[in-house]
Amino acid sequence: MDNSDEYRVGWLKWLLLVSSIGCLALLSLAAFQENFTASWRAHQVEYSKRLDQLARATETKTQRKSSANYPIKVRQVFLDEWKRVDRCVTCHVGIENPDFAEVPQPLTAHSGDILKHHPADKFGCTICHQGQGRATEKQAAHGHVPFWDKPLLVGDFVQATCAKCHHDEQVPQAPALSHGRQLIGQLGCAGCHKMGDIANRVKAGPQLDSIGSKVSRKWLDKWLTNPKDYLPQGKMPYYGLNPGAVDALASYLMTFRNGAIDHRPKPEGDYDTGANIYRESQCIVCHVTKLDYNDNPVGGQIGPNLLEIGNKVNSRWLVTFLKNPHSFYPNTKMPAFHFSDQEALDLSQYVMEEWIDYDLLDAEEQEPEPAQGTAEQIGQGKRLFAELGCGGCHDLGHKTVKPTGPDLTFIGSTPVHQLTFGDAKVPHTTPDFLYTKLKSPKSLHHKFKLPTEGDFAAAIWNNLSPAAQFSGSQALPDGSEQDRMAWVFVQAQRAGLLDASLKIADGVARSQAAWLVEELNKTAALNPLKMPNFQLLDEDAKALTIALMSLSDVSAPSKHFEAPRRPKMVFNPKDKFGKLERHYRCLSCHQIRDSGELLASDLTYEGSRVDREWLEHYLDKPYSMRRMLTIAMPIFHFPKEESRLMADYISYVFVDSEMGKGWRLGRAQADPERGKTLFESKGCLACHQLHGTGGDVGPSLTTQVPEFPHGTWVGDKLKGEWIYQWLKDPQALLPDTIEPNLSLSDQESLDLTAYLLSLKNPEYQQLDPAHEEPEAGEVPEEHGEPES
Amino acid sequence: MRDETIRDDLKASPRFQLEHQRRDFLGMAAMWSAASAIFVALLGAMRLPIPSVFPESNSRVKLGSVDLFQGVAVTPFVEQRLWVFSDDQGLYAISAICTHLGCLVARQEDGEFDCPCHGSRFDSQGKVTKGPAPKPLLRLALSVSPDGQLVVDRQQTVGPEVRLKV
Amino acid sequence: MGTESSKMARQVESDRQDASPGALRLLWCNLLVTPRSFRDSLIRHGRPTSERAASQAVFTNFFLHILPTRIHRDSLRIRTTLGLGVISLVLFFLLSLTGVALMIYYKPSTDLAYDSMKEIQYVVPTGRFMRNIHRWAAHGMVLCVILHMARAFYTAAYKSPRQFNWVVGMILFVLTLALSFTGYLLPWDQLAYWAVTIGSEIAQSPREITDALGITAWFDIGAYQKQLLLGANHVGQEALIRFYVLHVIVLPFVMCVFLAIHFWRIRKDGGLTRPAGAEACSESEKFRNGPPALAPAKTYGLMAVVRGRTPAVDRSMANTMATYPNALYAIGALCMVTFFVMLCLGHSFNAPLTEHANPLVPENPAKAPWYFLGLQELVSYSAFMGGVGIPGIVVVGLMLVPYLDREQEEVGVWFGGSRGRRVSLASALFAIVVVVGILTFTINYGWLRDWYPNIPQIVITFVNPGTVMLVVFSLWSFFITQKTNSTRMGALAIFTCFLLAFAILTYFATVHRGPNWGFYWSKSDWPVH
Repeated sequence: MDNSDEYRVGWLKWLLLVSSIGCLALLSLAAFQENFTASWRAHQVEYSKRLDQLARATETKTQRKSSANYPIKVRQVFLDEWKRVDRCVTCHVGIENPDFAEVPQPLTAHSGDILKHHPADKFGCTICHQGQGRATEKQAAHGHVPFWDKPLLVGDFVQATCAKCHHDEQVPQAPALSHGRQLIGQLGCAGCHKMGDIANRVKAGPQLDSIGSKVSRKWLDKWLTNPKDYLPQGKMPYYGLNPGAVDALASYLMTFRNGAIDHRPKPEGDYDTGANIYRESQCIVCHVTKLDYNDNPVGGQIGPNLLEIGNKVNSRWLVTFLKNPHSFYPNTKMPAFHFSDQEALDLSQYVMEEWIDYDLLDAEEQEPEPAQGTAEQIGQGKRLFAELGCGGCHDLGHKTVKPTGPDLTFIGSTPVHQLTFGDAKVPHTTPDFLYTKLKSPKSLHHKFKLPTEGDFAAAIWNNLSPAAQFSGSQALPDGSEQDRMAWVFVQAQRAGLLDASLKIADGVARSQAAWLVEELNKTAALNPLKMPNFQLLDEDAKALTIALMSLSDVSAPSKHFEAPRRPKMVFNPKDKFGKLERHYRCLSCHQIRDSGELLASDLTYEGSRVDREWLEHYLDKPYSMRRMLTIAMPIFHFPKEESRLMADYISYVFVDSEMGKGWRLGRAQADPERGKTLFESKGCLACHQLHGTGGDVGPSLTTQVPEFPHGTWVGDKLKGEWIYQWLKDPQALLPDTIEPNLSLSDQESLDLTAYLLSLKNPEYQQLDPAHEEPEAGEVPEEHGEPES
Repeated sequence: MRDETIRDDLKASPRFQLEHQRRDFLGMAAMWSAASAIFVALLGAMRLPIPSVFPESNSRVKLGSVDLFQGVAVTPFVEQRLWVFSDDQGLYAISAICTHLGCLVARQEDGEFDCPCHGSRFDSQGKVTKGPAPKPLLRLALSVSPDGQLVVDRQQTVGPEVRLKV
Repeated sequence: MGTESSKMARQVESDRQDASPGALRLLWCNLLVTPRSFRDSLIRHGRPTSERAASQAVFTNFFLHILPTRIHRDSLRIRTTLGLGVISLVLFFLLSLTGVALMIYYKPSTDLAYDSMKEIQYVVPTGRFMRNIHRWAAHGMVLCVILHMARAFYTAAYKSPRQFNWVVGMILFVLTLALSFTGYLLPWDQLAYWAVTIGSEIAQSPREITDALGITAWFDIGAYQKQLLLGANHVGQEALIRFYVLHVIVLPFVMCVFLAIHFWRIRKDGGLTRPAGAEACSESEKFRNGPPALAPAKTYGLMAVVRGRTPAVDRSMANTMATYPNALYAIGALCMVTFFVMLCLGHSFNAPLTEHANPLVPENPAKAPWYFLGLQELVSYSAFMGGVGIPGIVVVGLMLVPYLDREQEEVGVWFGGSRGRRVSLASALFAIVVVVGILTFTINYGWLRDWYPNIPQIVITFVNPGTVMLVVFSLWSFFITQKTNSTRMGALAIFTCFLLAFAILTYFATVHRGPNWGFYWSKSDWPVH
């Protein structure tokens, strides 16, 4: 054994010893870490201690026992149907324990009553909050680690995941999501972006087929340059078009003229008569007509702003339009009023004179008349119109337009590294990307690397900036001067003005920086990105972000899938009533069978609600439902046969035979006297007025309308069935009404209904003997809508 | 040495040869049969790894109504990994799968295609302009189904001049 | 037999005779000596007390009999082998053990694989450790096998009679890479998906040739290879299960067979290479410590009387030493050091796991594991040449080396002496200049397609930076052979070139390639999305 004089085995023994001891040490360390130092252990120990304290405080034996046995272990929610495992409860152990509401994270109880409807054992945590359910370490579980695309959603952003199951546009418990979804519809996002099954029912902007006859070229130029200057609340976003592009687009649009209008004589009408017609027609319901002290618009948001309309439109066009709006815009929400030629003339006179900025007019007259667009400009404009996706919001001709923007169907689940952040200093997460993109679309771009400092390109810029040649071109992206310069050069390169090394093409003097700008402006190439700036408020941008985040490819198991309640069928009958509806555009304010808008009442069961006679009179002469409201249904001056037809149609078709069945069966037992006592004892007068006494929250029960040919008290107007139903469960008829549900028994409801029905204006008693029990109930909506 | 001589003598005798030939014949036949049986078995087994039909999604996919593809336009189909182009002469489809090593190319703003994996670049018509890709991006066969839908066959390629006229 | 225990047994026996009623006592006594008697039965000869017994211990032990009973002292010197072969083997064992542990949890399904990785990482006790060790040991094994190959080459260990074992070694090298590659897909993350997509397309790249010949329609060997690998046209469930089967059964089995052959041949070919003079210089010391009584008592049995010369028996017993315990300590120490390093790595660095595989989103850049990055650089010139042609030529070329270079001088000496050292150094410099030059040129000026956009693909397939390097290296080797009139020098030259090219390309692709496989000085220059 010892002939190894040259070869010593001793150091091998040492090596073996040391490495083995090293292994042992490391293994012990690993074992210790794995079994003792995990942070979730500390949280569970803390939880257990607090449980003990609580138990001692309450001195309940059972509780003490359970807390003493609280095992320290990895906990999880296994979600079979979602094919997920959430171990969040390993640290967030107190999530379902109401005693832990005040305890700091991670032990705190879940806020609100959401867990009641979404039990943790069915929905886990990551379904709503995202993050990495399988992980057992904080950073990894919250998803703040590389390679995990779905980090924890915080604050309102959690609402984005509600959309996995809740497909309705409005999800009451998720206000931000609902608001965002509403905005998507309002802004017409679907015009440019494919977004799954979200589609614009109507294009967001007006049809442009006769735009050339409608507006002045000067106005159009200004509008295209920055629509927010003219109409800060308008939907039209800011595209940042440079003068060249504006010229091209305007030239192109001005070619769409309507010969019939152009050749009319310039009309003259009577201002005062016009003012009257304006008031009767309740234009303010749909149009903004003035600004209040805080510069907030006053008036409806359905139609366009009327401010400065005198500077905008051609009065010949306006007259034609007022006579028959549908010939211009088949899809407009504007009803066709029965204006005579003279009335239209008067009204247009009033409108054109009332909302005109004479200073502006004078200023405009100083400016030279813009030149007629050249064929080249028109061609360029046409290209721009297509490229910018104008067709997404505006009909021009009858072409089907394909979305020009990226497909957003699954934008919420797009991996972050696929999103282009450019050099923007925002955290690289999907919500931040969307928010920034919405707030300032042009900030998310790459900085263009200039060849070297102080070279030719920089020289041009230095030459440029003091002269501010760029002030006319608003297309520059947000950012520093350096950014803007870089960007200008890229554009110039794209437009072929500069070669690859950013040198001006041969034959152009180098010093001509202005030339470059001029050329750029001419080429209409200065369009950084298609995405315009909607100049959204912070909360709107946030809501939109949330709504966009909700567009994800993660789908819920069919069991939890709530199909959208969106109408499958649009209410559009082919009968006479349908024709009238299309003429008067009832659906611009009312909803019928899920079609239309809810600016006024839902008419789906109006026939079951109101008395027919009252309705007919009301259609002839609408009045405001509440003292506090100044707006009401416009006076359409329906021809007699039309109002009769509508009243008949509504009372026979828009009915629900099930409604108020209890009243029909039990009206014999109803006692108005008992009802009166009940009325007094329940404190109805706190909100409703009776003969001039009582609160102003709900509508008055004894409304007096001078010169109305029919009683307007509650018993004159409403039907017993409806009142009964309403008293039983107001929210069933109108989900967000503030009318309290008094939990009346059947008999009480009957009595109260009988009492309310007895409230008829005695002056008109003789007028309606025939009909059932047109009687008053608590008038529904807190916004007191007119009914048609 | 001596043994070998004897053996050689023996081998030389015709009778020995005859006997041995017979015995050899049997032996040879047996050996060869065994070898060929094993060979045939292996040959058969070689067929196993490639099924008659691959468990894959349909190669023919409907892309939507033909009417949607009008004017000069580019429509990406992310899931099908292709673009449908339409111009004055008709429709054509370009596959997004790089002909080099199967990565997905990305369409740039200028209409060219970049491959992220090995830097191949293709012009707007799919022709290789740079990098290792051996051939242009594949043009996929388009057709119109009887119900007016545009159909692409992802297994069938066509030449660059082929357009679907609508 | 352990004398102690027999004495005890005798005592017990006499006790039994003395007092026959003690059956219980008898059992008790036996139980008391059980630990010792069990050890005696386990190690057949007990702890060896003489050199002879030490030889016996090795020779008759099931696990040790793969080792010679005595071993040349040079073979145990660290500078002879650097222990790389043993380390590779230890890593292979480690990989097998951790691999089996991982198999318990791993589910080879596209739906479940990724989740099972997460389970292993987060809730399987020691799971993360196992996976980390598995991953780092795999990298380590590839590295050690490459270094082991270089060691064998530079000490001329491939020469007669070890030519065939060199070939077996090359096969093991390829198998190691194959094992590593097949394991790559299993986590089913983005890294895996796109690396394997590229890998399988490389299998299809012979199409470049068949397309050029216009015979793809009849003879599509490329598609066949790819489909054989994937069981489909795209990476999916079929591919996953195939890679799994290859990774856990087929390749390890083949690996074991070839490992067995490798070790068997080491023994049969006369142990590790050592300089021819090793015996000569210690000849004087022959029998210094006594006569051949030290030789094993037992000799090989004669299985048959055969013609020809008998295998050479080591003639210089004096330079050998007992395997037990010297070699065992060496092996044991290597084992534990390797294990310790792997434990450190496994404890400190988590094996990467990127996002769940997404066939619609390619990684950018999609980089293969480091040992394939050199090839990936070549592949970015031509898929066929870089992925199949050049590696094929290199592997086959290296296999042929022992048959082309049959000189027997300087065997067992690093670089074969000072001339070899000079040649190797010159070749290394030459390779650096050539590779860096070609890379610089390609990056600055592009290649054929940038100059002649319409050039046929077949030209690029055969004339690209990779093939140019290959040709230049071959010419260089030829030149050296000519100059030195020594095939060994030529072999040294080309091997050094290959090794350096591999190293530089790997470094280059690791550090200087970024998105779209563009050139960047460092990762910080990468364009941000």
